Amino acid sequence: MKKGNTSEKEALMKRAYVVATILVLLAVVVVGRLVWIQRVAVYKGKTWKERAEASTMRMDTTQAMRGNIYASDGSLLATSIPYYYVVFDAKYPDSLFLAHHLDALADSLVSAFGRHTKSGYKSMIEKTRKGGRSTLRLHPRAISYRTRERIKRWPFFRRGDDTLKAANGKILYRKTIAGKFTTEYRRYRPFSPMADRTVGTVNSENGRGRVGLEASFDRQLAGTNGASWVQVLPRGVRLPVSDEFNLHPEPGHDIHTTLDINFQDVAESSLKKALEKYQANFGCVIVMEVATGKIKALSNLTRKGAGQFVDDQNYALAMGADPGSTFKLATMMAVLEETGIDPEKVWVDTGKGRLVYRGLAINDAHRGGFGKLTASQVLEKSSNIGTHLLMQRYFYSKPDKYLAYLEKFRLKNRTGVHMQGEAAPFLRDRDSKLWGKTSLTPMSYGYDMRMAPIQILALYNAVANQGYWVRPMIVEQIRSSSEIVNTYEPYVTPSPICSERTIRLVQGMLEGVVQRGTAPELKASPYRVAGKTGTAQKIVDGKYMARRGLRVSFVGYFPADRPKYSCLVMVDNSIAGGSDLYAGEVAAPVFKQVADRIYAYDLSLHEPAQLAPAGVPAPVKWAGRADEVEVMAKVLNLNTPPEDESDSDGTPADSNRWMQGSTASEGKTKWVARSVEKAQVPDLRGMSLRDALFIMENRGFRVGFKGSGKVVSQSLAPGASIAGAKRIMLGLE
Amino acid sequence: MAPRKNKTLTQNLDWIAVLIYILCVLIGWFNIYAAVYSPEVPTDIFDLSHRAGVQMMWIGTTVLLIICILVVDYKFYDTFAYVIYGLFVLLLIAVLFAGSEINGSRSWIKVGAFSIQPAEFAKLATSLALAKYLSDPAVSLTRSWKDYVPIAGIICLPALLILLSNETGSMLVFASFAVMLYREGMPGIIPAVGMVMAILIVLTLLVLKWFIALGILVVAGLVIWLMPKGTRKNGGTTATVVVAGLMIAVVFGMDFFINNVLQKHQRSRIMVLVDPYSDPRGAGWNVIQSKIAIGSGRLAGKGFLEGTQTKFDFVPEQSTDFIFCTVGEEHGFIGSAVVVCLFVGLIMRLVVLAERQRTRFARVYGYCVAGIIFFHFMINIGMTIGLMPVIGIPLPFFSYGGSSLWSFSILLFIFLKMDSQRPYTLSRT
Repeated sequence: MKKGNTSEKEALMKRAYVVATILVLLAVVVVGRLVWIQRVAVYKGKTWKERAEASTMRMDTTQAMRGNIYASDGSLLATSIPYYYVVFDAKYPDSLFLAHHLDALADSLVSAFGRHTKSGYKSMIEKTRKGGRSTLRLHPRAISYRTRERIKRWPFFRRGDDTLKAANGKILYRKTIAGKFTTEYRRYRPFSPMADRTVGTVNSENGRGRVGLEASFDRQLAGTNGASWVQVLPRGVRLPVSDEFNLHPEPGHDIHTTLDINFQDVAESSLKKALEKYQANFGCVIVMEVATGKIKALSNLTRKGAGQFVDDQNYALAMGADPGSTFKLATMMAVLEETGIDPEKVWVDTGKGRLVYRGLAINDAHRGGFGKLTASQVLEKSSNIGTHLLMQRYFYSKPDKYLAYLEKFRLKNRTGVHMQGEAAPFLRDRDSKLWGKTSLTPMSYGYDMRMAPIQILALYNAVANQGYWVRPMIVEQIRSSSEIVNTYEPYVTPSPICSERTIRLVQGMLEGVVQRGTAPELKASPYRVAGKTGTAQKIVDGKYMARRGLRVSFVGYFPADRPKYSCLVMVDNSIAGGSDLYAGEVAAPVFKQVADRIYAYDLSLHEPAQLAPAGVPAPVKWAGRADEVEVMAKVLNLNTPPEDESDSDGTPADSNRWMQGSTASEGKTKWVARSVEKAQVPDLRGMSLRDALFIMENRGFRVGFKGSGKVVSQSLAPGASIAGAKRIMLGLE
Repeated sequence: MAPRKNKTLTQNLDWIAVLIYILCVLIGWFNIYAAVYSPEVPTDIFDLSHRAGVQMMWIGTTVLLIICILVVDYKFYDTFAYVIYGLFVLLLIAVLFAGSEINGSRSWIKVGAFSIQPAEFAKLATSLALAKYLSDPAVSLTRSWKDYVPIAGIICLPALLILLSNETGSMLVFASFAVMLYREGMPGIIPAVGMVMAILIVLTLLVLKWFIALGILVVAGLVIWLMPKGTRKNGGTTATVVVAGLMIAVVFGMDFFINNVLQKHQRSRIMVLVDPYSDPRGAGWNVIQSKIAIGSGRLAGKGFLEGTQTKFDFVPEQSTDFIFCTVGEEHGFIGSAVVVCLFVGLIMRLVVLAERQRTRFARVYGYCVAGIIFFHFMINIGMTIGLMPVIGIPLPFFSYGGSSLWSFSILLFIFLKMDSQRPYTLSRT
C-alpha cells in the first residue's frame, strides 16, 4: 500500500515535466507564430508589414456649411444647398436581412433612378458584397434633399422597424442600416446671372471662394471644416478613430451686403441694353449711396457676342485705366482750391480745338474748337485744351502742389472697399524718370495714369457729400445665424477734402455739364442730375488708339440739390460699334435709365408737395369711409353726420362713400361728403394712412409716406388726372 | 522548537520570481505609456491625467499590498481560505444586483473614483479554496470520483456567477485549474480530450467539416490497421470506431453550435480567427490592427513611443487587453520574445517552486497560480497574434488596470510568501 502510494506520487510528480514540456511547446508555438506573422504570413498577397505601410491615417474632412450672402433687403444672393450621394455598404447588413429586402431595394432604385434594371441593381449589390470594396454608390449623381427624404423610407435606410424577431424572441438580424448619404454642398445663386461677378464664385474642388465677395470674405463664409481621423485599411475600409481627436464642422458666417437687388437689376439691364446697342466690349455700373458709401449695385458685364453677356470681370474695382475727362473734376477742384478764382470770370482761349504745346498735341473733341471759354465752361464742355491752359497757368510752376491736391482728394490710394482686387491707382511721380515738363498736361485731363472706376466714383461722391469723402462699402454686417459677428460702419473723412466754396462751385459746374454741356440727355429728368462725361482713348500696344473705339463713362450723382446716390457708368466701345461714340451718347443714357428707375423706385426721393387746400374748408379734422365716420362720431359724441339714405332702406353701406368733417362754429363738426373720382387724384388729406393706401393702391399706385398720423400733404395735387402717374408720396402728421 | 520565522519581511523570498515580476510590471507600465502616448499632445509618464500616470498609482498601491501580504502570517490563508472564498462569492452575487456597468458587463464595484472587478479576485479566492480542500489528506483525485464533486462545485459556482455578469473571458480562466488538477492526479485523458476538442473546433472553422470527417475516418482506419492483432480483437476496433464517431459528431456538433447557437457577436469573434476581414469593423478590427502592429515591428521594432499603428487609440483595449501589440510594434520580435521568455520563465519558476513545497496546500495553490498566469498569457498573446479568438482578458502585470494588477500581484505574492515559509512547515502530502 505504502509502496503503491509512493510510486503513484512519483508518477504524479512526473506530470510536472509534462506540464513544463507543454508550456515550453506552446511558448515555441507563440514565438514561431510571431516570426510567421512578421516574416512569412501573406494575407491576400501582402505581408502584414506591407499592410502596415498600406494602412495609413487619413484626415477625413467634413465640409462645413458655407455662409449665405444676402442683399440689403434680405434677398439671398448666394447660398449653399446640400446634395447627397446615396451610398450603400454592401458588406454591412446581415445576410438574412439582405435576402429579405434586396428585391424591395432594387425595385425602389429602378423607380427612383432607373439607370439599371432590377436585376442589374441586384447584381451590382451582390457583386460588391462579394468583391473587394464594401461601399457602393447607388446613383452616380448627387440627389436633392427631397429625394433624400423619400429614400430615407426605403429598406436599408429606414430606422426602427426592421428588426425581425423570431417566435422565441431572438433577434434574427440587427445590422440593417447599410444605406447612408454623403453630403456635398453646392453653391447656388438665386438671382444668377445677376451680380455674378460681384457675389463671386466658389471653387467646386475645395469649396473656397474664387472671386468676388465669395473670395473677399472667404474666411468668414467658409466656417471651419470638421476633421476626423480615419485609418484606411486595404480594400478601402475606413475605420474611424476615437472621437476625441475629431473636430465638428462649424458653419460659416453670413454676409449681409449693401447691394439692393432692385438697383442691381436696374443697373444690369440698362448696361446690358447699351452694350448690345453699341456692340460694346464690356462695361460696368456702380451705384452708391452718397452719405454712407454703401454700394447699392455693382454690375460688370462682358459681351461675348450678340445678346450674350457674362459677369466675369470686376472692371469696377480692378480695371486701372486712364479715366479720361472725368478726371478734369480733380484738376478743376485743385485750381479752385489753389487760386480762389471766380470760374465765371477767368477766361481761356481754346482756339480752334488744336494745340501743340512743346511737341505735345492737345485736341478738343468739338469740331472747330470752343474758342474762348470761362473756367466753368472748360469743365462743362470738357475742353482738353482749356484744362491744359488752366493747368499751365496755375500749376506748371508748382507741380508738387497739384500732386498734393490729388493726394488730398484721396486719389493716390485705394479706397479700401472691403472687396478683393481693387487696383492701386497710379499717378506719375515727380521722381519718375519719365516725368517731363509737360507731364502735368495729360494728367490734367485724365491720361497717363491708372484709376479704377470705383476710385473716380469716390471723388464724385465726395463732391456730392459736400466735400466729405466716404469709403465705398459693400458689406454691412457679418452674422452668425442671428448673432452679429461684425458690423462695418461707414467711414467718412472727419474733414472735407476741399473748401466749401470749391464744392459749391464744382457742384454748379457738374450740373452745368447736364444743363449746358456734354450730357444734355440728362436734362429732361424730373430731378436734377450733376455729373461729368469722360471719353478716353484706349491704350493698345502702348499707344493711344482712338480708332479702336473709346472707353466712355459718365459719373455723377442725383438728385443734384439733395444728392442721395452717386453712380458711375463705364462702357468700353468696340470698333464695330463706331469709333466716334462719345460718352454723352453712350454712357449718359445708361446713367439716365438707372437714375430714372432708382428715382421711381426710391420713394424717399419724392418730396410731397405742400398744397394749399383748394376748395376744402380748413381745417379738415378727419376724413374716412362714411360708415366708419358715423361710428366714430357717435363714440366721440360729435354731432352725427347725415344718415346715409342707402342705410335707411336697408341696402348695405357703399364702401366707396367717403366723408370728411371740419370744425365749424361753436365746436360743431360740419360733415360733407367727399367725392373720390376714379380718373382724378383724390384729396387724401385728413384720412388715415389705411384709407389712403386703400384708395390709392386700388388705383394701382405705389404709395410712399413720411411721418405718422393723418395725411396732411400729398405729392400729386387733388383733382389732377391720374393718367400716367404711378407713384404718390404722402406726408402724415 | 521550530526555527524563528519572519526575521525580515523578505527573508527567503524567491528573488528570481520577484525579479521577473518587477520586470513585467515596469515593462508593462512603459508600454501603457507608449500605447496612450500621442505625439500631438505629449504627456509625461507621471501625468495623472492619463493612463500611464494612473497605472503608476496602481503600482504604488500594489507595493503596499505586497508588504501587507508579506506581513500577514502564511497560516492565515490556510485558515481563512473558505472564508475568503465565501466572501468573494457573496461579492460576485452582490455585483450582479448592485454593480456598475462598464463596457457592457455588470461586474464592477465602484469605490470612490475607482472601479474594482470582483471577478479578477475570484480566481484567487477559488485557488485558495481548492488548495484548502485538496490539502485534506483524505481527498484523492486518483482513487475516488466522489471528490471531484466538491471540486467542481468550488470552481463552477464563481464561474457561473461571472458568466451571469457577462464576463465570458474571466469565466474561461477557470479552465486553467485543469493544470493543477492534472498535476494532482486527474486522469490525463480529460485534458487530452479537451485539447483534441479545441483542435477540432479550430479545424472546423478552417476546413470543411466533410474533409475533417474524412480525415478522422482515414486516421481511424490507419489506427485499426496498425493495431496489434490482440488489441484489435480485444475490442480495439470497436473503441477506435466509437472514438472516431464521437469526434465526427463533435465536428458536426461544433459546426451546428457555431452557426446556430452562438450569438452573432460571439460567432464573429471566432470567425475572425480564420479571416479577420470577415468583420473588419467589428471583431476583426482588433485582430487586423494587432497583426499589422506586430507584423510591422520586425526584428527590433520601431522604438519606444515610435509606434504608429498603436497610436490614436485604434483599439480601445490598446493599453489593456492588446498591450502586447505595443510591445510587438515598438520592440519588435526581440521585445516580444523577451516578454514571452519572461512569462515562460515565471511560470516554470512557479512550477519548480510548487514542486518543492512541503505542504499540499502550498503546492496546489502554486499550481493554481501557475495555471492562471499561463492561461492568461496564452489566451491574451494568442489572441493578439491570431491564434485564439478575441477573449477579453488582460495580460498579467502588463495590462492597464488596477483590479488586474492587484489580483495577479496578490495571487503571486501569497504564493511567494508561502514559499518563503517553506523551511518552517512540516511536510504533509
